Formats: sequence, C-alpha cells, structure tokens
Amino acid sequence: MTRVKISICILLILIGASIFSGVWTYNSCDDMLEVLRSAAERVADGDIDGAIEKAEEFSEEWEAFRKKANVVVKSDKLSEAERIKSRIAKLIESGSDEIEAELSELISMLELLRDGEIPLITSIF
Amino acid sequence: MSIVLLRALILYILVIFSVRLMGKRQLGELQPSELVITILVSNIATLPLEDVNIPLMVGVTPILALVCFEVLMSWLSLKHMSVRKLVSGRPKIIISNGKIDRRVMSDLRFSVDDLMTSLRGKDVFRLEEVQYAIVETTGSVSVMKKPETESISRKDAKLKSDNIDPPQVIISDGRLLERAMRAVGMSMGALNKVLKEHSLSVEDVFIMMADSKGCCYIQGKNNVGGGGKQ
Repeated sequence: MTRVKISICILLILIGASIFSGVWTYNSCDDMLEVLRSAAERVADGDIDGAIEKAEEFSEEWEAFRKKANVVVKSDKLSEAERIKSRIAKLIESGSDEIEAELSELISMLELLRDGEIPLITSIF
Repeated sequence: MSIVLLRALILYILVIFSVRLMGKRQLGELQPSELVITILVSNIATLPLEDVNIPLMVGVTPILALVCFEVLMSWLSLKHMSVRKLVSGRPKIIISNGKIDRRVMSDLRFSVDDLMTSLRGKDVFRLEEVQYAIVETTGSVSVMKKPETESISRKDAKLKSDNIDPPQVIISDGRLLERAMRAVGMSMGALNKVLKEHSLSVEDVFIMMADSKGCCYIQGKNNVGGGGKQ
C-alpha cells in the first residue's frame, strides 16, 4: 500500500508541475508577445527610440524566461529565438529592411512555443 | 562532460528508485506489461543522456509517470479480477490429464518445439510423464508430473524430519547482525562460545551462518574456520 501512496503522490506532483509549467510558459510567452507586437507597431510608425526601448524590454524578459524555460523546453527551440533576439535591437538601430521580417519570425516562434505547451489533441499526436 | 556525468548520476538514482518502486520480481516472472515498462524506462533514460539539449525533465517525467501507472495498475489488478484478466490474461491449461490441448496451443501460438523446450526446462523429457502443464501469464510453463513419475519424498518413505527454518547469516564481513541472531534464537553468550572455540572475534569473521538447531558455519577473514556447534 505504501508503494501505491507514493505513486499517487508522485503522479499528483507531476500533474501539478505540468500544469504549472504550461501556465507559466503560456503567460510568459503572452507577455513577451505583447512587448514584441508593441515593438513591431513602433517600427511601423517610425518610432525608432520607442522600438529600441521595447526591444530591450523584450530582451530582459527573454533572458529571465530562457534561464527557467531550459528546464522544460528543448534548447534548440530557445536557441533559435535567442539568435533572432540578439539581432533585433541592432536591426532597429540600423533601420534595416529585415527588421519587420525578423520581428514577424520571432513572434511566430514565440507563438509556437506558447501553443506547444497546451495539451491539445494536435499537440499530443 | 560534467553535465553528462551529473545527468548519468541523477538518472541512475531515478532508475534504481523506479525499479524499487515497482517491486521485486525476477525478469522471467514479469507480467507482459511490467516487462514492457521496464524496457521503456531503460530506453527513455538514455534520451537525456545522449543529447544534452533535451531537458532532464523530458526523461524524468515519463519514467516516473510510467512506473506510477504500473504500480497503480498492479494494485487495481490485485483488487479486481476483471482488471487482472484484462491486463495480464489468465493462465491456460495446455496439457490436461496427460493430453495436449491443441486448441489452446493454437490460441497461444505455441508450437510443439516451444512446448518441448518449456518442458525440458522443467527437466521433463517425456510427454507421458506430464499430468498437467499450465502456461502462466508470464509465458512460463508450470508442470505437474504424474504421481508415479515423481521422486520419492521423505513423506512417502514415512521418514520423520523436523521442520526447520533456513540458516541465517549472523556475522557478515566482521559485522554482527543482531536481528538474524535473534531470529535463530542464538544468545550472545552462545555466539561468544562458538567464536572462542575458533579463536576468533566478531571482527575476524568473514561469514558466520547458524540455524535454529545450533549448527554453525564460520569462515574467518584469514580462511580459518569450518562447521561448529552452539
């Protein structure tokens, strides 16, 4: 009976941890997406300083998220987003044409990351 | 490399814990589901070891989940016959009254060679010696021989014998095991007397075994010793 109780406890912990990690990833990605979309709008409006500010805000949030997300998310997914994130501020400063494409790609990646943690039928299969 | 080493240590502890949680069974006695889980656990444990990009939780979570499901399923099987039948199946009688049931053999996809291999594993080389043979849910075959082919037992020869418990290890590598000593009813005084006869102290003994009748076996660390009496 002891084994059964230990098993039930472990399962409850696993379920709790799964729900927590899913909710945390979803909320964190949502917050970062908001910042990114705001940055994209400012780029579109020509507000370079505002866009850089938002990019730096995103960078800080991303750093904090990445350190914790390494525990639950595959590092190649994070590495790809990291690569783009490191270019964003420079691209905005230089006024490059690629900035909108890069922002768009980063937004898609974060959306995939966010949606990948939701246990939908399509995600499971 | 240190990351791989630490992961290996963590996964080793986890696998040992999982195997202990599943309980004691020999490999040949595992139910089909237990065997599958055991193989799965070992395969899953290698994933985070092979690729450090994979989070450790990707290995830990499914291992713990599978083992816990298996423990719960075993418990349910214990409580409910229907669950046991569903998960493990039922033993099937393959030889009954000395006759082979070909329908059961066909159901189990058991060939004649498989049957003879299993019987030979039970030291049965003649089919005519077999009264009953049952294929267990683990796949092993249990055999009941015809009475006339069984060896004579002490009971058949009407020889009296006392029922005694098996001997216990009292001293192991210089350490006294007090619980075992109490289990065979040996006192500290009796132990010291035996050790004195062999000119040994507890620390000098490699192994000492004793039974409830007082028969002892001692071997010292310097290969000194032999049988003794309490």
